Amino acid sequence: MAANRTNSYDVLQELHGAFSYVAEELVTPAREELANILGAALMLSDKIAASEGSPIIENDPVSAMERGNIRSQRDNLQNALVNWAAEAAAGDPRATAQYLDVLASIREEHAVLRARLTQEAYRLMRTPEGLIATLPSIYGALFGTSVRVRAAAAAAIGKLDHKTKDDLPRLVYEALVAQLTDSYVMVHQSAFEALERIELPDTLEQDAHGAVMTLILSYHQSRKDERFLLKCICRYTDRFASESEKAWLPDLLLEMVDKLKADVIVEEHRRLSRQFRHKARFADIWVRVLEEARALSYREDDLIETLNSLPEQEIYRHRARLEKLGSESEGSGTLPRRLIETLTRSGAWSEAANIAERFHSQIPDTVEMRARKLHANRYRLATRYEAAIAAGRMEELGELAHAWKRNEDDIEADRVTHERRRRPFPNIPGTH
Amino acid sequence: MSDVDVLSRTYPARISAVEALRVASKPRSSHADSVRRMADALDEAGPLYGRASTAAVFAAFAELMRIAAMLVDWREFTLTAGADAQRFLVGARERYKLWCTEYANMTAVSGLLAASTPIAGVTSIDEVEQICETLARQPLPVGIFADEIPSYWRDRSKEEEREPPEPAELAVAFIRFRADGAPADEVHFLMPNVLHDLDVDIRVSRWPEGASVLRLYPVSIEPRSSYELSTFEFQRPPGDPPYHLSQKGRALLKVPQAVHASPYEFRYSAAFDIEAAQPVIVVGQRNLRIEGYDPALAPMTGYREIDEKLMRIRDQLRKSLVAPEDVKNTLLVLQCLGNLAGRALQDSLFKGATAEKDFQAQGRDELRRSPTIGEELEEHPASSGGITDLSFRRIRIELKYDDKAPFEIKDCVRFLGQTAMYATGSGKRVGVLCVLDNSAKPNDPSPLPMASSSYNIPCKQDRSWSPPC
Repeated sequence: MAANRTNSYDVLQELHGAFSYVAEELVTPAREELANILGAALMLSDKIAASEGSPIIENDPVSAMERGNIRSQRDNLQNALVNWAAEAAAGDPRATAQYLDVLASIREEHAVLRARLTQEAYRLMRTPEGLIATLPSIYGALFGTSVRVRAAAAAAIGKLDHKTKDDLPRLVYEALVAQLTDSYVMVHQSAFEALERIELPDTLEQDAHGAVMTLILSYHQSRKDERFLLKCICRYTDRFASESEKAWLPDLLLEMVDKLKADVIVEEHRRLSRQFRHKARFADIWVRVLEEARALSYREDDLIETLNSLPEQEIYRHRARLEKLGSESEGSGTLPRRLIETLTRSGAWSEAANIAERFHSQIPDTVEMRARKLHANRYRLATRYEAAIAAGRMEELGELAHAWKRNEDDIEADRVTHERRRRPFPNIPGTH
Repeated sequence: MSDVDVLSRTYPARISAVEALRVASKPRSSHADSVRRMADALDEAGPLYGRASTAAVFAAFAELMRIAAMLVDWREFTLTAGADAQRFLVGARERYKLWCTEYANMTAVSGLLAASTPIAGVTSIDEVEQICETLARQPLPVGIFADEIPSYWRDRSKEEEREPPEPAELAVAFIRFRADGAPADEVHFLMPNVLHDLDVDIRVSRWPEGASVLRLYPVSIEPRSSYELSTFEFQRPPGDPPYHLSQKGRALLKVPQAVHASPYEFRYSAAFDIEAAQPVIVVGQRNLRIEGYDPALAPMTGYREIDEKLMRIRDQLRKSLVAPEDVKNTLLVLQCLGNLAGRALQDSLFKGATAEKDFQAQGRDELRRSPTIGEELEEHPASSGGITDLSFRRIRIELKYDDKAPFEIKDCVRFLGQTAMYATGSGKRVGVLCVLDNSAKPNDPSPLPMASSSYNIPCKQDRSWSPPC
């Protein structure tokens, strides 16, 4: 009740904190108070729509921000109340019926609340009785006039466990597949997610096949949501592509992928690698993605994992670009070393040696950086050693082996000399 | 991916291995033991790389060094007339065969595989120098980082080892499922407000511990108030699994359906009265599709066979992603034209017609006369740069006439292109083509249901678009 009486951000924050996690002990009391909880959520809808709160003072941007914060806090609180109510209504036929009655009685203008109640209704469908009681409402919502409600119904089906999904009548899937052609982004994207990992009957699978291809073509043309386009491409190749399509379609799809931003492509790196790693075009794309520096900072592991999955001849073909990338990489200390590994695995020893040489030379020859430079010298000597073998310059090996031993001695001497300064408290373990 | 740098611990073994091979390659050398020691050192260094492919390369190279060491022994024993020198050659060859089997499909060692081929055909001690030198001249990848198995993964593996084995599959298979004696996989016409039989035979793979009742319950999108279908309950049977169980139940549809409604669909699921440790897998035919509309009770055209054909066309339109509103409007048109077709055949309605315009005028009058169509029927609206004959709520209707020779439904395909074009131009996935065969019939005409059909026409612009016409 307090939620509807207060305009205080702090009070709303406290209330949201109290209900954002549905503790098991709160489920039984919530069943008794289900009508009140849902009523509170409904009343919050009015306040959210009316945007009630502290007055907006002219030339005071903070007041507008405060009002916005209160609105979003109410929104979050309403979400928490709906989650709580749905959890409480699950597994209890009387409470389930009460929840569904409220859902059915909400007016059109409260589409947000209807959508929330619809989406959370998946919790009610965990038991046979709950499934039987709830499914008609969810199915009806798939054809609702509100875009939000249609999307929420699809999302609710998407959240069901595998067994329950398997128990759904075919008509539900017919509706979901038809939703793939819904012109509203929210709806067809929600249906797309819901149909993930669902085994459809043959005829519906064909319809979904066509619908997903239409989505690919449409999103490719509009360039509105690259992430979704990439998901469609991955799903299509994983699931729908026929044997005959597999001969020509990958090139067409890779052409589309090549136009996407690097950070988008990285998100689906595993699925892309699984489907396309043997394609030369994919290697081109991946090297381009590596070159786009902003993708590197947070996804280096994924980028290198996929790079290493490419055929050796493709990595070798791109050795010059990879050498340039490794030599010019200033943001990452690990990237040059990882590229050394990758290039030497693919037979590009001299390019790897050049990266190591550059990596070593970039470190200033100062007392502070001495240890780091000595370590970098290891990569330099090891790559030069292998490059000399690959080039048949066996006469250089003796000198390089001596240089390696000298470098190891220098590292040890440096460690002994500076041990106390670098680790003044040897008994306290380091962070690594 | 781990970034633990292990190069300092692994690379000395690599340098020593090359040096040992080069020393051992000399004709008078007897450094086989040194080569073996270096191979052991490589074997110790390799695992530091964890899952990285460099570990496999080091292991493969170490084994090749041991094979080379045997060849060096062979050469030394031969030169010093040692006893049974050939055993080293035989051992080296056999060991090499095993090596090839182990690494044949590993791309990371393809270079070593190619370089070591001469070992298989070695016959003279003169070749040993070349083999050792070739191996020493094989560059290896520089592995810097260890790809360690993450600790959570190692712990999980241990937990999995401790976990008891998964119990046997818990499956309920529908062997036989019948409504009024007919298999459930067909669409049934069940009269509303009349009780019908449901028979079910199932096979249960096992009964979970603690469970006493198995329930089969219907799942449907329909409100519970519109039907009554039995929930089948089976008590735990005596004896050992698998169990074969059967039961009879009832089905009652409380609300009749409109002709435009989808059939009722019920999918039976299974659950035990306790939550089993693993989900119940339900297999077999367990769907019931029931048509609550009965053409005999509420005929559409007055001709039962045409009604049934229209129902099939309706089902196909639904599958073809045609909007429900368009399905409804198309059916209204088809109902009217279906009745006209029936009467035309029965009463020779078009005896006096001699041209397409006669048929079009009569067809238009017939459609206009229907209270469900009436004023909404348009005549000659433009679409796709052409003039369509008729249109009802933007469902284009083309009327064609032919009296040259009797023809069959398949011969109407020649008119489909125009109808499809008009439908596409109107933004619809469906159009109606009605062809009057007014030729003299020396033989009996086609039976009625043969005289109507639906066609899917794929469209170049939109792969999902397939209008039945």
